[in-house]
Amino acid sequence: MLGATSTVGQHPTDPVDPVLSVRDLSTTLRTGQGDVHAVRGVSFDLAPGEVLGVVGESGAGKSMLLLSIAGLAPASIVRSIEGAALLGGRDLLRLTPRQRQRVLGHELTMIFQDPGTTLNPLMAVGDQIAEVITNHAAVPRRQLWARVIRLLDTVGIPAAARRVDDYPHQLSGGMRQRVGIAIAIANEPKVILADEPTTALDVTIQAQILDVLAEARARTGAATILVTHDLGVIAEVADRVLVMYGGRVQESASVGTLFEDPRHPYSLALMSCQPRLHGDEPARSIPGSPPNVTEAVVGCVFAPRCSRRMSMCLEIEPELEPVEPGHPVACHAVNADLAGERTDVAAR
Amino acid sequence: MRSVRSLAAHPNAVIGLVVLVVLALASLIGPLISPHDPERLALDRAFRGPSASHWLGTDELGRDLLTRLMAGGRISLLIGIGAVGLGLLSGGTIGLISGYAGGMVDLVIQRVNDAMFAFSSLLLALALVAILGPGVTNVIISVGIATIPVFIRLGRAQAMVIRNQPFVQTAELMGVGRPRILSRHVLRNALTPLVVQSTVVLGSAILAAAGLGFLGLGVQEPQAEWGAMLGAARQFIFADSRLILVPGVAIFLAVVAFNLLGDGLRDALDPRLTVK
Amino acid sequence: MSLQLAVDRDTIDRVAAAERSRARRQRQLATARWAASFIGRRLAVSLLSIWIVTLGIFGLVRVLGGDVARTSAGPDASPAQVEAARIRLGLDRSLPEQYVDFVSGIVTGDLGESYRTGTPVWDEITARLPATLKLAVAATAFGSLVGLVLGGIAAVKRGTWVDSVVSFIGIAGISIPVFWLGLMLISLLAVTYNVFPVTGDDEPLSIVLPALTVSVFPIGLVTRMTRASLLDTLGSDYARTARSKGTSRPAVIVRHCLRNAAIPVVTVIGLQFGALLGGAVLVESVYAWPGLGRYLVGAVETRDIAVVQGLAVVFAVVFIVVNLAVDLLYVAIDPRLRDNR
Repeated sequence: MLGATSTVGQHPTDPVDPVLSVRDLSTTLRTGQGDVHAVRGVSFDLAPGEVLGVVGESGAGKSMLLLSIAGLAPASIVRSIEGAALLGGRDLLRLTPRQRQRVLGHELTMIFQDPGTTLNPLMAVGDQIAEVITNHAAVPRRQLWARVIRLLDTVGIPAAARRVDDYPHQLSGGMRQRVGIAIAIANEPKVILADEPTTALDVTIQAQILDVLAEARARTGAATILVTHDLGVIAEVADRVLVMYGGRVQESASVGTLFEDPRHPYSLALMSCQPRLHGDEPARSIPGSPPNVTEAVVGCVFAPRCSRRMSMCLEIEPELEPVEPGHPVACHAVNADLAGERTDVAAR
Repeated sequence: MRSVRSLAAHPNAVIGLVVLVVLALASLIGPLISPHDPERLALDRAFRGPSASHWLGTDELGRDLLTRLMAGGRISLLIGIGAVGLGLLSGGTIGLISGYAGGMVDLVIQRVNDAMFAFSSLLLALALVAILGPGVTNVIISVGIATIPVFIRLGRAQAMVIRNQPFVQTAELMGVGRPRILSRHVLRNALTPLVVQSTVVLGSAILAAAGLGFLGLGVQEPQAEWGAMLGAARQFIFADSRLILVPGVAIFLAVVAFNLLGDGLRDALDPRLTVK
Repeated sequence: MSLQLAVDRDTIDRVAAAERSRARRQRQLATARWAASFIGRRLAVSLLSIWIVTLGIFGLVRVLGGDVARTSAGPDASPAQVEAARIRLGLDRSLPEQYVDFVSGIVTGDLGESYRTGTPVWDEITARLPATLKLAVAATAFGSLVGLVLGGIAAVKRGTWVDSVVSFIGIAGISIPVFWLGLMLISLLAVTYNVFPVTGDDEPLSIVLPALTVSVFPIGLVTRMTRASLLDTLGSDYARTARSKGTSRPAVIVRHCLRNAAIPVVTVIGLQFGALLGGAVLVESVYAWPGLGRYLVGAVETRDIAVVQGLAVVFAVVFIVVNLAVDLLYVAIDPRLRDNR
């Protein structure tokens, strides 16, 4: 069963059709210093109602992955987006602007990172929620506002009817993010793309927001892709995880597997960097710094910082190979381990 | 230097710089190598069109237009740099002190400056010329004082940015005296942005000086100054519009060049266009 | 066993809607109250600013003016005449007394008499002020409108030749010497085509050329600022959020970006008013427009300090009023500046 790679990441016994299918997504950006390959050959399937966590350091291409899928990457810096992102039979990357307008805010919605800047400061929050509804359906005024107030209530804003005409600056950061969630669930989407929704918030608020998100998902049955650099969030919310580094998926596994049996050296390093509540181990960090994205990648992009680096790693970029069903890893050292195991088994 | 390289990426700024260099060279060297005297009358040769000996022709009093243009350029540059220098030194210093000190000092200075800010360069300069009288020196002083409100505001903005930098806060914590911090750290770091912003102010200073000259209140005859040349040629507007066209184009080119340069410098030093 | 109360969803909605209306009414009331206090405060600050300006004008004239009496009496006046002038102008009294005279004069509308002509400065100013205001308002309105449109087009068509042309117009607008432009327009339009009058304010079309000339500077400035500001908002996070909601690009621009972009543009229109009046002064000279500008130039030529002083006060008041209007406009546009919790 080590050869099942066509639907990478999907559990082989799961018979349901994925709600979102991303194939070989690659995004190249143009910058003053040359071309940047922000996303390289990312593929995954998203099952309905599933939460897919995407974790990695800043600059690993996580946000750009979401923006590319949604088609919201700023046109002025994007040179090309290749691959496919299939939602309901249509390729999101090949939509006309009008088609995209119909999908965005409806079947596919986004939650952004910084609630301080993602809401229009000159517009009441109720109006901004109403906008996403009226963009996709003609709703009579009374029903519209009743729905908006109910949405605010759903995301846990107290005295929703009184706050519906408030401006963003009159709400706290946590409440603004709840408004963002309300906007994202207003039309019962199939997929929610959440780009670091809790990063800009206080730790105490983070938990609340995650709860709101969980409830919203339960209500709408939406699948979610949650991008974050916080493993704690992943542990709490995700069903499956993609570990990204240098624009590529380095490891993909169910959340339990990732925390119990991480294989990729980067994943291992990430796990060991988590500060432990007990014990005397000092906090660790991964030596080296994130890759210089303007330089062309030769070999494995993590090699310079990898403790298991071999000479092969500096020449050939490793492909994703399943370590076990539903757990692909891109690492030469891991492949070598596997080969060793196989020969061990064979030798016995 | 990275800034120089990114400057080259802004063709506008380069054009501005080139034009300015050409103008500066022409103004400084031109009158020296020209065979004509910009101030000597020769009424028998008045109103001549462009010819081999007079590349741009002669003006209403027979003087070579090109030479007067270059001499005028020299004066304009002198006035511009003098005025902006005056404004930058006095206004900039006050602004830096105001921004760095904060508190009551800042508040008072700001209130006064806001009131003064209302007046534009030209109006303020006009009023000052009324009090001081015409002439090159007084024009420099008047236009210079008129630019002070702008520099106070610029200096204050810079000081407030620098004040929050870690190295300044460290110095304060180490007990370095505030005047010392001001002169050593704040000044040094504020200088470059302030000089960059000065280029645009230079443009408006030249416009103000030309305006004064046009009204006959600035540089006095027989000295050549672009605005004054325009003012003197005004009565001949229907007879020989060339006399009005040429000095006007000169003023326009000079100010456009300063603005282009200022824009370009500002863009080059503004790290806002980096990709995340 | 639990008692389940099935509450009609419709009822809940209706209650919520009523609550919302009530909250809105309360909010409007609070905003009105705050607005009144805000206007009151700004007026007080404006009066304070005017006072500071009078102090500044007074001080500047006294400090830099040299011997005002001598200037007034003329260069060849005898010592006796100079002394007479000194007494006539009240310069023999102490400085604080002079200042009180000055300020009380402003309040009562007595700005002294022109050193040259002897006519009351106040009368001369009020006779000419409407003409200048007409010119300034026309130029500001026209210039801002054109600038907004041009800047908007340039931002939307960023990077294309349209953008380059408009950007050039922007820079040209703020670099052109207004007096030169006026003269060029006169020689071109009035002589060759004879459509618009070039002197005086006699006919309704007289205002066209002068206003056009003065408006070139605000056109340049507003174009540049609108373009920059709109580009800024187009690339903002909330514009991206709007797109993620399925809002079409034109709707994003109109509904979200324009209002946000307007704020710095309003700032700049207010700030440039001083430069605009400066331009008006020069343009009045070129077109023989009977406004304050020509009066000022005449006074500067004859070094009539009383007139210059009076005009300075009047201009200051005009500016401060304009500043006040801009501040009020801000608050109307941007709810963050209000405090209506």
